[in-house]
Amino acid sequence: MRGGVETELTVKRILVADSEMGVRESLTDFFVGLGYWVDGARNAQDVLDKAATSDYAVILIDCRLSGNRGLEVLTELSALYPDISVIMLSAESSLEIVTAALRKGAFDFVIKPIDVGQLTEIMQRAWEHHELTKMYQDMCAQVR
Amino acid sequence: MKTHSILVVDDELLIRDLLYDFFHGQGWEIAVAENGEKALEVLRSRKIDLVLTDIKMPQMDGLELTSEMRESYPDIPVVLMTGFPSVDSAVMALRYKATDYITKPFNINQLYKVVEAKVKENEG
Repeated sequence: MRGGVETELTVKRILVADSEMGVRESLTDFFVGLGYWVDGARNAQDVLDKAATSDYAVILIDCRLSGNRGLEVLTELSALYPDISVIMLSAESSLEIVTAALRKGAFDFVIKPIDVGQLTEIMQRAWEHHELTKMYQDMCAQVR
Repeated sequence: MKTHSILVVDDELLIRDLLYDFFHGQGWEIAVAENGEKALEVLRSRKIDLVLTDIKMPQMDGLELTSEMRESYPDIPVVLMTGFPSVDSAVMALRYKATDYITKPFNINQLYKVVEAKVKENEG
């Protein structure tokens, strides 16, 4: 459940959404090795279902998820869960896709093949951004 | 009715003049600067609701300005304009939390709709 019981040890929970199992598995293995709790999603509905029931800090979404619905999923996530940092992944280096992701509120945009060093640094910033956003929202809730 | 203020940053005098006349005609308060460094001076001296900046400029370009603004003025929306669009600069714009990325030549009425919408959205 989103916003559930907090544990003393903060779990860095992330979701990797890519229709290619190989990409999901390799990114999962990589981030598990860095200490993240990683779930996988193979289609758009799977992302929305999992985001509704788990507290993700960061979600990675391939633009081609479920027949190029990656940007649609980004739009829904931005509206429903503004505290989640969404990183878009794309094999296509297209100005239109990047500007659409910018307008829809993506945290970052990574062009495949993925440079894991760059993605690690982006993931760290995305995590920090999520924590700051959550803290700000909590403080706003306290003064209301 | 509240008057909105915009800062236009472009090294091309013609673009600065064009946008000055247009936004002035729409009843906006408008400031202009020829590069990122001058833009930061303006931001230090007056209240600005939105920055509309070119990317390619001498001294401090639009991406550097956006990056600086995210530190010092995180709540002011930045709309980037460029005559030399590229995936790399669009990714940097996204990374620096620019509000929009517009390619030149632009339709000034469409640009106005973007700017107006972002200012109102930011007022929340």
